[in-house]
Amino acid sequence: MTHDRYRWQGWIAGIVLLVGFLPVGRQLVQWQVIQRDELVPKAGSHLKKQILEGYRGNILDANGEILVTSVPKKTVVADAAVLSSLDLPANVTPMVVRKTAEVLGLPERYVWDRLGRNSQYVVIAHKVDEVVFNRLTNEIARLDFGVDPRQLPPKQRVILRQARHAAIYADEKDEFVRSYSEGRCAQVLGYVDSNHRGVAGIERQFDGLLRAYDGTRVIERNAFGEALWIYTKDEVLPHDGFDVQLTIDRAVQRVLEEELQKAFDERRPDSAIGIVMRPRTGEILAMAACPAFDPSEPGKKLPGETEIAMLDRLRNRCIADVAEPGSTFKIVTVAGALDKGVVTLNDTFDCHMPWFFCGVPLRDSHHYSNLTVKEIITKSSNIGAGKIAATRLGQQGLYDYMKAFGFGERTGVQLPGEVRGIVHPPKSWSAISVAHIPMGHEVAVTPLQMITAMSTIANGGLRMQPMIVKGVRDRSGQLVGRFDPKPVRQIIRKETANLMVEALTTVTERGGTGTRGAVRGFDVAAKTGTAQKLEGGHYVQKYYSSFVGFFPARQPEICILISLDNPHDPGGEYYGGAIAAPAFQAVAERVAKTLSIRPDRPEEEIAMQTSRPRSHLNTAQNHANQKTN
Amino acid sequence: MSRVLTPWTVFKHLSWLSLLTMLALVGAGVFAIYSATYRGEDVANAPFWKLQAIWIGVGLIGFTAAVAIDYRQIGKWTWVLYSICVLLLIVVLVAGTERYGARSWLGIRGLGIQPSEFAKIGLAFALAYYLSDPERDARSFKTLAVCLAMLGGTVGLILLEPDLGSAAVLLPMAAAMMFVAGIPLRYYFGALLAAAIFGAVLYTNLLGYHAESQKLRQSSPDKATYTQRLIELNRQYILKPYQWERILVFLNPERDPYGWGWNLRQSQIAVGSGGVTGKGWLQGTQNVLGFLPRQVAPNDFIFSVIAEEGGFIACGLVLIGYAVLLLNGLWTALAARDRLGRLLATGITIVLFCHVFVNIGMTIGLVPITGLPLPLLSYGGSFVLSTMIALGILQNIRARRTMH
Repeated sequence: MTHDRYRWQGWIAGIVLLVGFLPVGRQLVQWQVIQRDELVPKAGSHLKKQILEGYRGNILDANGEILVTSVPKKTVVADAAVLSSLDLPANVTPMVVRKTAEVLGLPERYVWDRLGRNSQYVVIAHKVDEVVFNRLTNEIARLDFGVDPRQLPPKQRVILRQARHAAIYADEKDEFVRSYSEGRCAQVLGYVDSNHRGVAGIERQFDGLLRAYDGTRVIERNAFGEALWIYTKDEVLPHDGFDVQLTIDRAVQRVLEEELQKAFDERRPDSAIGIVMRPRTGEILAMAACPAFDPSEPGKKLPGETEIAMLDRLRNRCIADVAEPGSTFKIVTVAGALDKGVVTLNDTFDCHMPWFFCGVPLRDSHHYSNLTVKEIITKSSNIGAGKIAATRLGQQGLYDYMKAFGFGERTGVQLPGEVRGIVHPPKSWSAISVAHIPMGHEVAVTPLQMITAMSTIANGGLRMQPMIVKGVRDRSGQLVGRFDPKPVRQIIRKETANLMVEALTTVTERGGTGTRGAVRGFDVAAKTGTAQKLEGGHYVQKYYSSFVGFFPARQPEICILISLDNPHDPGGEYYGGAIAAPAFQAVAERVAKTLSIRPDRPEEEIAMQTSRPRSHLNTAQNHANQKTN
Repeated sequence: MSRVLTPWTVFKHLSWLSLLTMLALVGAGVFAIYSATYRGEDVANAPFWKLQAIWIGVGLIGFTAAVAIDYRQIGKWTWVLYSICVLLLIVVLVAGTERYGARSWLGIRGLGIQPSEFAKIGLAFALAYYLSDPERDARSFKTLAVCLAMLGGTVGLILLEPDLGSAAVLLPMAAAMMFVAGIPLRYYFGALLAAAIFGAVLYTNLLGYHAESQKLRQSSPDKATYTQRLIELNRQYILKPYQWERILVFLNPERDPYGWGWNLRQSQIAVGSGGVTGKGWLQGTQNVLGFLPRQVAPNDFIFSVIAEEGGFIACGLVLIGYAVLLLNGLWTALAARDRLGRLLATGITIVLFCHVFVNIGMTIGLVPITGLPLPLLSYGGSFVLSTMIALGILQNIRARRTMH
């Protein structure tokens, strides 16, 4: 009987046991088989791919000084889930928020608003200096919450520790900001977009070399957000960008920009352009256009500025803007005629005004009688230049030399956005073109084309490829690529070039149009230019004043171009020799000192300092006096 | 009179299957504990797994002793054993170490014992011995009263610590033993009625707490104030706020996934992400990275660790192992030679069952989270020792079933 009783009790017990196990098995199947795919990523989310950032390359000047570099900035992030946790003592979050707002200089209200989203990743501030961020974390770590963590239960202790050390953190990916030393050279350097891609200038042209390629690695984080370990086998190392070294000399650039700004303020043109080139190599030592922009904030409008005016400031006018050059272009005409042997420097031309060519009168600014070819340069006679081309050089000859000097073609400098300019072939010329073109009308040239032509003369007729980048270095400074000065070809014979130098030197001497461009101690070969501007098919009372020259005239080191577009000089002056020449002179004198160029007449320089003004160097002297005073 | 058993005879009658199962489970436990406290290659692992191994060694001695000495001989010392257990329960209230809000430990940390674990065996022996007395009239009210007194005393002392989980498992154990001993069923209906009334009170309480917490949550300016006010509620309800919260989280896991619901949520992720085959030993991110909190991973939530790293297969093996032990206990109870053996085996089996079911159930969200560890697998010296002694007693009863 007892046997039976225990038998059914046994059955009951067995059934209870099974009933207990069934839901367990069912739940395990539910979680481990049915819901598995949904739960796996939640566990796997602790595995995190970390971006290893590469540095975008620097842009260096000719001497290796940094013009642009990338500076890492922090993105400050808050873990709102921790800060709003139930387990924190009530005073902790307000204290952390107050400190954060204080150090970052934000309104406290703003930080509270951000924390309103209950997320573990709430961005509080962008682009925070590393120093500031470190100060913030240090000060939060030192806050006195008035709680002894040792007396808290473990869970609260953990969360307090998190609030103190991990609730305000920096995104592990730094945000890089391009930093420009002195903010100079803006149009040449260009700028990057928010993705760190070059948009303009060198940044764009050499983006492929400058650009960094990020690496990745997988790290695992624990519940406290600490990185635990790193799977090195999956690591892809970042690739830093290369440094690009320019031919730009920071000191020369500085001089050019300062003097250009001075001329800009004084003569009030729409824009001012300056280029400094080394004729022997074609290296561009400085290149600037005024008004410029702040490369750290491109696209920021000045108060009251139009969108177009803002965009104008971004453009590198030295290569992207064309203008009728005016008389500076006469160097092409005369050099061509001399080189072709159709004139000599001493051939004379009747330069009485007016000269009717095909029924159209040509004028000069002064009345001249007979002028030699050399004097045509010295005085910048339009009639003379027109006659040389029309009677001696001919249409085809003029065209050939214009093309030979590189007009109508890109110079091929390593900058984006260069334009060709406009040079029409003779078949589309009008009958009077052959008299107009020689004095720099009916052609459109870029400032860089102009200075390159002048440098060709300075370099004995051998044209050098204009260059602005001379090398590429890796992160350690090792040179990995080099751009050597590249001769293009002999444009005019060396003898012709020497004759040209002889003629051009007279421009800055007594009786020349460019005496205000003379430089103490140096013979300067130069040419002035004043082009009336063409607007809507008519010449208007606006001028394009320029001055391009090189020195020392017989052993040229430096070629400088200055041009002022539509000046509004208070004195009413607009001739290149009057307003562009002084800027040239100022730049040249300072550059000569900066680069320690040996003067042609060193004794004279010493004499000058004790001062006896020479009449034709009036302006230079005044300038020097001001300095010595 | 009974024959004297030679050790060889006992040896021959051991259940080898359940012995091997026990060894496999404690062995697996050491590995699981190692993993539960593992923090990465370059971090020194906490010594929990070594301590557990040492306790298993101690447990084997206890097991051997529990097998070797005839349970009827032990039975004669029942009152001494029970008195010692009760005495320890009193001592622990006075001199015990408080940990996680309960004063349930005797001795220094790591080497301490939990008297409540041994009290389970002590009470089982006391009830079995008392009820197996041939003179005893199971139907008399006095028998019932004595049993309830012993039960109530032990449960009361454990509740004072307080250790709700350990106290609670004694109730089904005693109920089952008394049922097997032949206590009339009408008393059970009375107990059921009492339980129902208690349940209703508890439920009303729960609703009250829930409503009040909702109100507090809305009226509090921030979460910190809310928690503070919640804690101050303390005395107005039967259970403490954290216990209510555990129940509420059990009923609605989304209630507070980053607070009270954290453990359950992380446990679910651990178990679920283990899938069928698991992630491999030491590969479980949930415990290695501390998402499954380190305080509970090696003991209360060891099953989650096993589930994550061993997957459904390991869970199945563990469940099969417990089924073997429990069925063996059941069979031992049925086949026991005398009432003492039968009652003892019943009690031990039921306690074992409750532990296994409640612990696994809580890690997979079938029952609210209570602090009941998983027998043989969870970290905890006293519990491993007491469980192995209990299994030894089962083997003891089983081995001597045919001896007269």
